[in-house]
Amino acid sequence: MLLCYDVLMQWLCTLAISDGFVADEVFEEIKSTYCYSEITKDEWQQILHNLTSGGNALQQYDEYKKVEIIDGVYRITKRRIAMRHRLHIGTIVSEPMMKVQMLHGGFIGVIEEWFISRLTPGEVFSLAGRKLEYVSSKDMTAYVRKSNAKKSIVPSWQGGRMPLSANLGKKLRETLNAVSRQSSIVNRQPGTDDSHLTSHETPIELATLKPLFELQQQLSHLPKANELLIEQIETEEGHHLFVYPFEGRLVHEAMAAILAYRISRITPITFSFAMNDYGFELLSDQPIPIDDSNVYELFSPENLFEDIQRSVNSTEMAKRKFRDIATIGGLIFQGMPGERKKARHLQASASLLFNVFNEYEPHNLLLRQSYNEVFAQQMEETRLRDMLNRIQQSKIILTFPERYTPFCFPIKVDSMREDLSSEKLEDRVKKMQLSLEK
Amino acid sequence: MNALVAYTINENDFVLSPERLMYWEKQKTLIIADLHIGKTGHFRKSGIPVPQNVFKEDLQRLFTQILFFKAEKLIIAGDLSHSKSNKEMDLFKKWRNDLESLEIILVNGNHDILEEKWYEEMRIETKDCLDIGDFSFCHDPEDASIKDPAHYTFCGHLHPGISIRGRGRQFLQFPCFYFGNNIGILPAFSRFTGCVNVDAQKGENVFAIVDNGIMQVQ
Repeated sequence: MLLCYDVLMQWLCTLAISDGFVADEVFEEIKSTYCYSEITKDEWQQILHNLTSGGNALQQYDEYKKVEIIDGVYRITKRRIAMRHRLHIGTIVSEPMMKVQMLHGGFIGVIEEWFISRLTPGEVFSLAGRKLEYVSSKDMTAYVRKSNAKKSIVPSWQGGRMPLSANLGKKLRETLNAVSRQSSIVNRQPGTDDSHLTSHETPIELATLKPLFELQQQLSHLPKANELLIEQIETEEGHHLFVYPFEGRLVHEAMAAILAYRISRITPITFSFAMNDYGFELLSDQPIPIDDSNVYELFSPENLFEDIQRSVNSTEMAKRKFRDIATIGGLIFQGMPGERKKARHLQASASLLFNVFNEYEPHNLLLRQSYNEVFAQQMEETRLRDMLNRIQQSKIILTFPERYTPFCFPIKVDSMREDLSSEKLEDRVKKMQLSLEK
Repeated sequence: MNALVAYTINENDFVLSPERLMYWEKQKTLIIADLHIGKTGHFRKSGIPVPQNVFKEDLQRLFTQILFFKAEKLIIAGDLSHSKSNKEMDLFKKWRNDLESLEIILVNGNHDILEEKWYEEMRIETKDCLDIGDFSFCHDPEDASIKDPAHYTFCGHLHPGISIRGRGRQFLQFPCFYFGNNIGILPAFSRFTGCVNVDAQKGENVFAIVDNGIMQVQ
């Protein structure tokens, strides 16, 4: 990763709470590192300006205070600000945590706030080897009691999801290719005994998954390395389009956004999309206009650069990046550790800050960084272009399964979703209201 | 969708505006809640550089709306200021002096912790609860006492929002005006605020602020 302004700002503040730093000396030092070798004088000035006067201010109505220049040395002198900074040093951003405590005292552990917020009192979950019934929450503490319930919800943590690399994706396609060829041999010679094939040549993983592969083949299709499978399924939820390029989640997120953007230019339509390492899903309330006649065109590498730009601007990918960047860059105060109540007067959610900066300070460096990171990491043009070229060479197979297939199910149930729309907000609200009344 | 929507309670006509406020025609009064002045200043004073223009624009919007409706009175249903005093209050002071003839009444909210002297200087009348005819104003809906079924109370505090779900897992959230049987909750006026979903029951009315217009969604 290059030019991480958030980390740089945090590090400068760390210097400023100790003996302080001299701008010119530090500039030479950071410029000698790989990550910041491309930093311009202008960006450096903006960063210093941000630390000392907090970006654009309404001159006489402002009391911004963080880093001060004392005799040419940048320092943080205010005790409270220094303390807050020390407690927020680090670049791995975790979810807000809640304490889990027994109704009558005993402290059990901590758990992510979003998990607790989805529970209703009376539900049972497991933590620290115990089954616990959720009772209530107050002041960042969840109160629980012991439970003898047989079933319990297993907590999950948001943690990082490591995406597949390009090489691993290729390996995965090769493996599937082998499976697919094997099954087509079997299919061509019905009645032949293939047990020796399974036991000697197939790795245990593939042998175990065999029933799923068979079901996939029966309901839809098992793609070979030179094929791209697209499934269209209509359910009560809406019209689903599943695409399986096996390129890893980050690339799929980008591809989903670009495909959604391209389709949304054909007709006013709203998509919600989800993805995993194998493929992605576009879901809409109306039929998705994709068929044999336009499918190669929708996956064309032409105008890729422009479409990348436009699709990033119309989705929330940058907003998700901003959450971490804002925390590392010191915009989000997570509260003091162990504090019983959150210091509410200093809290604003990352998404609110993102909207405020987008509207009132669009050139802010941390905001720019979140867009840059989307372009650099997810919208990697060369990798996307390679993938689209590969798709152009391969055979696109469109199937219309009657029900969910083994491939699509894990994507369908993923709750992390984004959306993209070319419909007017007002029309969307009207449509949703109509569907509610039905 | 309309830019302004008329709504009648107890035979009084109110105009709902997408600028997150309400005009009471009979009383020539603008009603707002949760202005949170000094919020950006409070963040900045603590070393968090949020843009101040969001605050400046809040004041400009309010100014424009007061002129537009030719309002004589402004009722703030709590949370005029965000925290302790800071220099942004001086901008508010200037703003106040430009609107000399405007009568301002503040119903105290949990954030209104400034010294009494300041309110006096700003010529703001403060009250814990305000009654005008069939109507009352208080900050937190939990403090609203329902005296008789005909009485109606306006509140703030919640920063109400409404989320709408549609087919294909679609989901949208908007700030809203919420009108229950005896209690109405105003959207937070400041744009530097988030919103919390209200749980609207059958028979209650909810108006969402969608872009620059108002849509009744329930």
